[in-house]
Amino acid sequence: MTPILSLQSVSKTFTVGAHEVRAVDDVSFDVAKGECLAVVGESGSGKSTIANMILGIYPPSEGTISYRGTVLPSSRELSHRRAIQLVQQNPLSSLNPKRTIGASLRLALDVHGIGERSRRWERVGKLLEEVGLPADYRSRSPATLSGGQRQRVAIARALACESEIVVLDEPTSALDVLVQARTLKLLNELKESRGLTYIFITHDLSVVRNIADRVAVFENGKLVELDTVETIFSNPADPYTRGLIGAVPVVTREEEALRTSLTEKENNANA
Amino acid sequence: MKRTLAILASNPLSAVGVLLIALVVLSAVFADFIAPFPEHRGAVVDFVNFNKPPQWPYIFGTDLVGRDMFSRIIYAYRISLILGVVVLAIAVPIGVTIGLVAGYVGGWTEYVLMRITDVFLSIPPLVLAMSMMGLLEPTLTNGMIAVTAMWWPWYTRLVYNLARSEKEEGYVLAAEVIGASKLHVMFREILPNCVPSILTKMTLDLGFVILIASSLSFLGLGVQPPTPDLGSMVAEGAKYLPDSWWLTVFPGLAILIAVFGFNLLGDALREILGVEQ
Amino acid sequence: MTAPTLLIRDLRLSFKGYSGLVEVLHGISLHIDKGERVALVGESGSGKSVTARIILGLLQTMRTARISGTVNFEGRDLEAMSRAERHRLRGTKMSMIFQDPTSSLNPVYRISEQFHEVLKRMVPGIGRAEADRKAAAMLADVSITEPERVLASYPFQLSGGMNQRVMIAMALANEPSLLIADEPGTALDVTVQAQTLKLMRELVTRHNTAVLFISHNLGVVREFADRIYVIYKGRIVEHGKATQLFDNPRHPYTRALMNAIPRITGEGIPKIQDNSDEYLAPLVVHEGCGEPGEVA
Repeated sequence: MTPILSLQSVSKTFTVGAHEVRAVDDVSFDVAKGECLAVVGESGSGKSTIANMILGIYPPSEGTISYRGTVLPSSRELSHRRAIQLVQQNPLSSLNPKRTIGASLRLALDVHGIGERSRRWERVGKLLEEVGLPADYRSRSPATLSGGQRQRVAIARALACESEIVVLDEPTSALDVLVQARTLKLLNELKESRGLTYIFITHDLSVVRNIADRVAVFENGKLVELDTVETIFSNPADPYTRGLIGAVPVVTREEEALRTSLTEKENNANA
Repeated sequence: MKRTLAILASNPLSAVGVLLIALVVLSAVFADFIAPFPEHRGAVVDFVNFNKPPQWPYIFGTDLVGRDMFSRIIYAYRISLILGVVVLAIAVPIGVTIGLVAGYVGGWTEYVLMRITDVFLSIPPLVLAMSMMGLLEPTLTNGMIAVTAMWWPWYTRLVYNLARSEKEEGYVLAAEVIGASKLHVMFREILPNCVPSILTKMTLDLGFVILIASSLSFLGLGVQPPTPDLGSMVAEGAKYLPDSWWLTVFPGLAILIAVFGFNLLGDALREILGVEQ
Repeated sequence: MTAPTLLIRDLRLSFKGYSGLVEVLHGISLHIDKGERVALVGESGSGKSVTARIILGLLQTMRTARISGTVNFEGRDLEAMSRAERHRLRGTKMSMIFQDPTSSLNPVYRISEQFHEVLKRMVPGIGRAEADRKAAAMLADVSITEPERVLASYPFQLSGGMNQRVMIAMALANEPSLLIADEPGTALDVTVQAQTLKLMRELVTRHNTAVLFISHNLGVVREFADRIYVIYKGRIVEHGKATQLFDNPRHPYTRALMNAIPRITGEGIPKIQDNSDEYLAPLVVHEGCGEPGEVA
């Protein structure tokens, strides 16, 4: 079966002054329809650059990105934009403070000509209900919503285009922990009901453990490990991955035991 | 609304600004009803009552041909305000559009547009307006053209800087990822977020446009007699100082009140709209 | 018995806004003994950061803030001190570490100059050479291997983790008796965060510094604190030793908070019940953790 998204030897080089920085270095991986692939790494790992290339914000310097077997051109067509959508980290900034929730959501419908013009407003209400908000939030401004509610609106906007792939860029790290749990639950439900494919960019491994199917670990622009979430957490092959898991702040003794066993393995490897 | 009133109440100077501007605008709008001698705005001669110090019914005195100064100042306000509004109505859309395009599109477009703007900004405003008026005939229309030519680049600068920082906001990225057009992003997403700053600057500028227009006519390059103009009134009266002081002091005060009032109002607006300095 | 390093009793805070008074703290009490590491845990808007700012004497000067209750620092009432006295305490007996180290260091001065300023707060006449020597020793203490190079650098030339260590060294330079750490390391990568927390823990233990650790992250708190206060909507809801609290969270809010954290052992996405009414249940104090002078 053709993967829904495929990266072939993708590299990205940025020129900063006189220097060339290789943010992403020869990365290849496939994403299967309906899976949640976590892209994990620390700052400077290249994970955001990968997300931006998948979204078509800028093209790769080398290599290709294919959607359903077709290589995506460097300037995207509207239909490709429609298929791949984004939820950003900070819901404070991702919604225009001077436009109503409804106007922000409707934009996606207008740009892609989704539904009859006269029924779009109604459709916006349905989208809001789908993410657990009242339909009449349409006419509200973002300032009147809590952080968690705003993130729900941002999720609804990503769904408005009837997208297939959603790039989730640290979607819960700006939220309080109780709100985070509810948002993750919503994301999981939507994935099932809409058959979505997620590319989940994050540094939070405890979230990854519970939402991802597979995990891609990045370090300095290189893909160091890609495996199922079970294998990554029970038997990570790469020392960098072990280090990342070993640094997660945990709250129970069972978690601590898992972490310690990995750290020991790390110490043995170094010896 | 409650917040607006609270800000005005906590800052008496803002209230003064609102009051002064209300006074200026109302007298300009209802000049025909307020002015005791509406016909004195034109070429009227009354040699019986010429050069009279303030006295009833000429509360600001009369000028050298016997016209009521108070009436003339009120009509001068009307012209100043029209000039200010027209100048801004032309300069602001031009400046804002160029600034938005330069700030959002970037690259070569930005380079070319901003260098042109810089050229205009590098010439001292009064010198630019004066040299234009030197070439053109000194009429009200040409005065407006000259002041407009020197005014738009300031809005380009303002909006350019705002657009460049708004461009980094997540909502711009969100609209781009959806596939919205550049026009949409500039005018429907970014522009609304610049409006408070633009409005504040416009209020402050109304005062300055009046001041610049008065400076031009003070130099004889603006509105021509017999049309009443605060700048030419000051210039004319200055020849008869200190004896006929009312010829200079009242139009001078009128300029001061307008400029000062618009400044205070602009500051109040800045606070009400939450614009960062 | 010596007075606790910090003793807060029935602290209330409200802000006067355009639409009347907004109450932020509804009477919180907490204490930190000498050399103790105490955490104040809560979500955004719970009142944890304003508490820190009151202790530092930063909110008292705000026109719109209404504060009541007592804050005693080493047995002295902050309210009874003059503004100048409170100012003198900051940076000497009391110091602070912020969330984002890179933005809390001044970008236009070299580290050595900033260190000099810090040391001058304690010894006003200290010379540059003397200050540099002291600073180098302190940087070595936070495991910085080339203190001279770091001292000669500007903050933007150093990594976030390095800046965080510099911040820690500066905060401890004048041997304060209380260190307030507001979400330290949240802006850093997890591995760097883990290292800095470990380092900070070692240092405060060695110097016997009391710490008020403010965080929203229970996991981080668990690694660092001896005793924990959980704060919700301006009220302390649970107080206990770290082991007591993590092994047996008793307040409904603390339990919800604990349940909401995804586990790396993989128990699926946490299930949260919408019973926020229960979160307002009265304070739960664990055995042996009463406030001094109060009958537990």
